[in-house]
Amino acid sequence: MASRVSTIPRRQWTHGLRHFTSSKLAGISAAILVLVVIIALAAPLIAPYPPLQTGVSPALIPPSTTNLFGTDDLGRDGFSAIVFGARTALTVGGIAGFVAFAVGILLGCWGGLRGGRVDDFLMRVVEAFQVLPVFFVMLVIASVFGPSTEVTALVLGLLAVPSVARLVRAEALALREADYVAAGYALGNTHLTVAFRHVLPGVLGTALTVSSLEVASAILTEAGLSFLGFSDSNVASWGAMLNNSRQFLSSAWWMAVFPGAAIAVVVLSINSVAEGLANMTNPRLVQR
Amino acid sequence: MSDAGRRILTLIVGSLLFGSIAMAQGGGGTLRIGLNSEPITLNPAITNNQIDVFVSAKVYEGLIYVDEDMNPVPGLARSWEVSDDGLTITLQLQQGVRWHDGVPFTSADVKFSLEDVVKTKHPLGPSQLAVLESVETPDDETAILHLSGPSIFFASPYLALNASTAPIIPKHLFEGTDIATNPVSSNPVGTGPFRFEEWVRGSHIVLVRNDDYWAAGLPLLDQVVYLVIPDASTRLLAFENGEIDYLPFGVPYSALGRLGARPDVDVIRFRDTRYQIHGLYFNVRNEPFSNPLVRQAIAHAIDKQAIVDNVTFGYDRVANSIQQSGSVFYNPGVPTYDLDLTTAAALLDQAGLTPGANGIRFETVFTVDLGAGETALKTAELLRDQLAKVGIALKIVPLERATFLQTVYQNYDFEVATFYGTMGPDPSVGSKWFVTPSAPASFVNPTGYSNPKIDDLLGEFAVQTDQNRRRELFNEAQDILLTDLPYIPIREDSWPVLVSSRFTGVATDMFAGKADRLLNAARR
Amino acid sequence: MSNLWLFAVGRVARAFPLVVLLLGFNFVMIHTAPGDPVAMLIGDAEAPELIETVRRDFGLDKSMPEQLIAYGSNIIRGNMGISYRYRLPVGGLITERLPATLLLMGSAFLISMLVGTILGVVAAVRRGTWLDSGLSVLALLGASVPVFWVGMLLLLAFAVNLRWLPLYGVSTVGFRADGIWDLVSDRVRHLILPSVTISVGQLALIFRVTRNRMIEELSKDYITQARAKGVPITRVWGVHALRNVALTLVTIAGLRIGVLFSGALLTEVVFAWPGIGQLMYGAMVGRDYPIVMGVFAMVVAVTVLANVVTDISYGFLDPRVRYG
Repeated sequence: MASRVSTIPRRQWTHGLRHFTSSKLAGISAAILVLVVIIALAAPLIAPYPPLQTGVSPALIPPSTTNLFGTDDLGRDGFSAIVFGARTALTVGGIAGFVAFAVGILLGCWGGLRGGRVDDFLMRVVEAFQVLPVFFVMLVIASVFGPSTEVTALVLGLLAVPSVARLVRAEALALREADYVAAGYALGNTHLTVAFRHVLPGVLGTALTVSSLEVASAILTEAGLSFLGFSDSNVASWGAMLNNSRQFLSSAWWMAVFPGAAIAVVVLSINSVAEGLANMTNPRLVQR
Repeated sequence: MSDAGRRILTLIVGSLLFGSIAMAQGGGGTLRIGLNSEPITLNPAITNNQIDVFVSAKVYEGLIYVDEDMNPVPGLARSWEVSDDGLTITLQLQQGVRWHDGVPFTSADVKFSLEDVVKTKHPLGPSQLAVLESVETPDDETAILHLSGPSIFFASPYLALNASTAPIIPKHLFEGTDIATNPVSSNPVGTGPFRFEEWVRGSHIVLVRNDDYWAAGLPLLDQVVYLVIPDASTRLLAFENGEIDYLPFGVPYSALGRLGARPDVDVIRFRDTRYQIHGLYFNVRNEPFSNPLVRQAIAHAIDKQAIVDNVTFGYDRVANSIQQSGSVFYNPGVPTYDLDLTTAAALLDQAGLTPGANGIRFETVFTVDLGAGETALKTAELLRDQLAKVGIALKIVPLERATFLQTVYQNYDFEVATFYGTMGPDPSVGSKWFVTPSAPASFVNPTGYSNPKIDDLLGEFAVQTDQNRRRELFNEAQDILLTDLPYIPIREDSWPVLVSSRFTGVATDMFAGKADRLLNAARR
Repeated sequence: MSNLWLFAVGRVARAFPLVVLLLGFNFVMIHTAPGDPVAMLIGDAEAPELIETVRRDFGLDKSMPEQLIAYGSNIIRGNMGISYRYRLPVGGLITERLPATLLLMGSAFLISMLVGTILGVVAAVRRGTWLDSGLSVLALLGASVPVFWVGMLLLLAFAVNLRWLPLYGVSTVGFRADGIWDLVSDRVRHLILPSVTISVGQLALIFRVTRNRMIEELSKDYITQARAKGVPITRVWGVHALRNVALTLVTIAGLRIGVLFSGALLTEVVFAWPGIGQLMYGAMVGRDYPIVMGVFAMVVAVTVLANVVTDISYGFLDPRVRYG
């Protein structure tokens, strides 16, 4: 796909890249994100204990050299749970972001290029979804299907489709009228070819930016659901740790501080990388 | 501004200003009680929800109460007499008692409450009052109960006629109405020591002293305020900050050590004759738990002491039988299962469940009842680790109470599940856990375990009146149950509650506590 | 009828099918949920006939389509059914709790708008300074922290450790007020922590939008011209630039109502605030379908309405939209 990128003026890319790296925060954030991904992948190697195993140390001991982030009421190691919790967070965020990205591009291209009734209908649906109070929908769904990380991620992704689709459609609509695309149609290109050759490279940056924002918000939503007790108790989850920590708020601050900080750091990194991406590909987006 | 807008604004301003202004009292003090959930109704005649009973039992009363040693003491009945055949109970009622609205209380209220309301509309009414044929009212102060046959409930009148099984409600306000939707069901008018003042939903309920209470000089408190704080941690923090004086429900064990050490806090527990049994049960209809060897293996693999230490911070005690050890019906000779992983493994081998390549013998699902309190999930998490040591992979599925009831008690769709039950002051109440049920229902035996011998023993136990014979019967039943192991008892729950030491006479007895009237509670 | 009115009516009409669709979704979702509400209602019951009575009383014995029709026709008449748990009309339960939630959301909205705009203008004017970067990073952080975690930390700091502010609820129950100001101050003290909690995310957004739009506006010609004409600098920023920025802020505020509601739900749980969030949470745990359906319907209706109103007012303020 890299070769297709050439439809974007090269100057814009290099300029963007400079912009991205010049933003210190985005750079640091990207580094942190890479680190978090590595931690999640290598969790069993990094975590000193299985995350859910009880009684690995005495209960409720504050952070120390043996238990970096202290232990909870059942003597589970806080650090190990945080490390494994990264998996859950990234899984939810990743799936949601990917679904939003893929389906959003698909619907956006389709509507934008076809126009007319199809576009009208699609945009009506997209509009409808965009208004939905996502968290309430998720609460209802979590209570119906039971707490499942995958279902949560999938639905969050679908609910995020509109924000991607809308932007992609706008660009597709604009591109359809562009001379070189019109010329392509004249030469007998199908919508599919046009989509791949012209639209996709043009909207990739935008879609990526918006999807990564959705990754962040999916992680936050999942944390909120777990916090209310709608979480799979067979996997480590930052939100669920926070839920459990509340009983010990006045006696074991570490149970509340570390998982919350973990969420904040990851979400912050994703948000600032998204901002960096936006600066790189479409500076106008940030100024919305 | 539109009308709607103005209305909303009024509501908002109202919410800023209104509420509980009129609370000025002095003297005996205000007891602030933290509740974990809001009552459904304040009519105890149509509910078995413990919060409902807990609150409304200060306003409404039963006929007979019980003291700390389980001896019956007068309530609305000042004396009673049981005929030799046990089929007629004559109650003499308290004199000069008035409902909170001033109307005199008479035997007609007793007849109405028992016959027309409790027997048909109380969740336990149809079964517990099944033998109650009629209530005769020769005069205003006498009520004669006619029974159709012997019943363990009426053999000890307290069981049948206490404040939670047979509360007395005013006939003149309820007769001819739909009891549940009658406004009096949420604005109660009773005979009890406290009058209802207000119920701000989602926030609080206020009761004030009934100055005309029939027991002279009582109650001592001026006011009782119930604060509804569903969230356990906020509730606990409010108690720690001195904003609440008494936490009767859902006190996390983790808080006991810390708060119990404070000089201004009293930790009060159930008397051990009333401990509840927490543990697990199996669905013995299906493999692998249809095999008693597997159940015994699991019993050997469970480290009960570790659970008591970790989940209750050492506060409770290990349970060996399905009857609490403080009870006279406890059988100390039941088969016990020591922690012994070798035996557990051998038993599993014998049952043909050998470890696979990954060391796992089989996987199973533990359905956890979140309604059983904070300890249920923690127990499950510990069990997951303990059973993993003998190659059993436990997957935890926590369910909210409603879902749990349906999944486990209606659909029997479970493998292992949380057990949490009270055998009651007399285990005839608890025997429903072990006999073959006639139909799926909540809180009866869901395990599929059906043993004619147990049915016979407990059937006789329920109608037998000779206490020695009853003990023999129940001892034998315990032996059989602990051999067959459809249930594994793990822990005897002591139900600790927290009371500020500024108060005395609060939570003196938590079993009666459900229907406790707070008569002698007072500021120190 | 003018174009504007046509646009407005069209906008309202377009929202209608959405509302119907969502209510249908809501109904189906909640009714496929596991868990028997009757079991919950009766509790420790042993009598099958009682279960049947309750089932009949609440219409749960009817078929799904019948229940759906009953639900639809009731909703149209403003009747959201009877709560299983409280045995009271859901509409009443919601209106009873709504003021508390609106109060919370309203204060959060005010805080975020006020503080967000001021800081946004300051950052824009001082663009590129350490103050601007500092505020921007803080805003990014504010948009990234989980709202309930903020609540927990504030609670820990100000209510548990410092004891400056109350822990929970809307007011001190049993509190003897010395006149109206005492009462108001008690209410305000209860309001501070939860409303600040909800406002954090919103504040961050308002700040960013204000800052970026201000920068955009300040670089426009009319500003330069105004400056050249000798209009005082504060007047240029405050009146001219900010007025244009306000339009964007209105749109954002309208779109964020749903987020504000979710923030309120989580915050109400943390601070035991007796609003509709608590009501809904308790109902979800207790399988009180009518309440869950009622609150969800209300939240959806308010959210959709807010969007429609935003769109229409935007249409009235900015004529280009109508033809877009």
